Amino acid sequence: MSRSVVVLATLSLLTALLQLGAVPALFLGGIAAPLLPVALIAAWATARGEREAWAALLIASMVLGVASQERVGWFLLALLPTAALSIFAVRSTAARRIASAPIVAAGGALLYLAVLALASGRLAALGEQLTAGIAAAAWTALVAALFALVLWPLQPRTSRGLFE
Amino acid sequence: MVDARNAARLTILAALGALLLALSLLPVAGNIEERTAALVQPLTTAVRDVTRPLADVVLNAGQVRELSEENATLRRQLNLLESEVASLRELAAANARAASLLDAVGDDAGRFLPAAAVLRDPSPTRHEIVIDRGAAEGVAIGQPVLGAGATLIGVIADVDDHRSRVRLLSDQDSAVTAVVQESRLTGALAGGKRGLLLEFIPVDAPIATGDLVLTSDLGGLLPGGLLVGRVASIDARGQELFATVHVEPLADYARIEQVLVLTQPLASAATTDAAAGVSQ
Repeated sequence: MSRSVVVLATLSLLTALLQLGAVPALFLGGIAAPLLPVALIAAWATARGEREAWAALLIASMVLGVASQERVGWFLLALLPTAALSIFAVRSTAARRIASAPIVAAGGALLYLAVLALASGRLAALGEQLTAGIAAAAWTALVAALFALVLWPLQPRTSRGLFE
Repeated sequence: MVDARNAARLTILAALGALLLALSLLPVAGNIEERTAALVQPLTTAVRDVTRPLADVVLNAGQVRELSEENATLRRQLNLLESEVASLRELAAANARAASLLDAVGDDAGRFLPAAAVLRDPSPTRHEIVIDRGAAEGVAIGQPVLGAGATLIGVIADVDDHRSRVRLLSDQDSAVTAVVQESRLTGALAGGKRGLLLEFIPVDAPIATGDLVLTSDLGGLLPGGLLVGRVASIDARGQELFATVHVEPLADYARIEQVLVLTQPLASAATTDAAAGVSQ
């Protein structure tokens, strides 16, 4: 297991614990709060590529899943769209990749909320709380932008050829 | 574009998610989940304790203006209340009854099990918390859970050995039989996106804003007389059969830390009496 995966796994565990322990206290348990694991996956995938994101998906979904009435598998499926969206962002230029992190995170956050609402059979309830969902996406995008800036030095160094 | 390797990676993860969902149907999954949760909960509590000072600073900073306005409102209310002191003296007898209620609560203290809220369900549409007491401590599904001010905040929805899941009254699936204390009208108190709604109250019912809402014995699921909230607003349209009654909970569901689980039936009407004390 590479060192970067270990770092990502640790960060994923930390963000999931913060999501459970700190975010409800700061945002009083409402939906309109940042989704830290989503932000981390989006930021990491744009900084280092989506190949390592699986570690974050597994660990975050496990921690969140045991705290929820929904099963771990639903959280894995809920986090999956963020990794999928990041695939489209990682092949562009550096500046675009940094800029894409919050966009990926926002989209991932909305899909995360939608999948979990679907899991609980309450998709309509989420639709009625669209404003809160959008606020959650905005918060997640903001956090993802911060994460992306912090993680940017961790991007893999590519050896450049003579004519590149 | 998505190349074959990425597609394969995502497919494997999606399949893993589906596999985990399928495995969660096995009885052993609950045990694994509980053991994992036992590892996660202390970490979460530690994170919460470490970040609590930051949360307090952020939240209180945002509430300065709100508290200032509330203070001004309270001062106006205080002036009004001072003029009503004379009439309140006539309720001295009722106050004596409130005192006896408090005594009754003391007698029933042994029937309550203190517990700490250790987790809040991260699912966006669920209003549930996890407490650190379970079947081993006498907790069972359906038992009422009281929060600050000895008011009902929810009902035990699921139990493991050493933890339980509390469905808050504000949850979409929550519904309890409730009664308006002053008029004795009974309705169904349901949670949902619009907050707590007292349903099946006739439009011409004699209720008013500020009336206390308690649990009802009707249905036999909960003991009667547990304090729930106050009538916040009444939307009664002439052409409708029932009014829309919004109930403001007396407990702050967003800041639940310590709770009491009623593990044994109440011997007295303690909470009803306590509610009478609040109303006065």
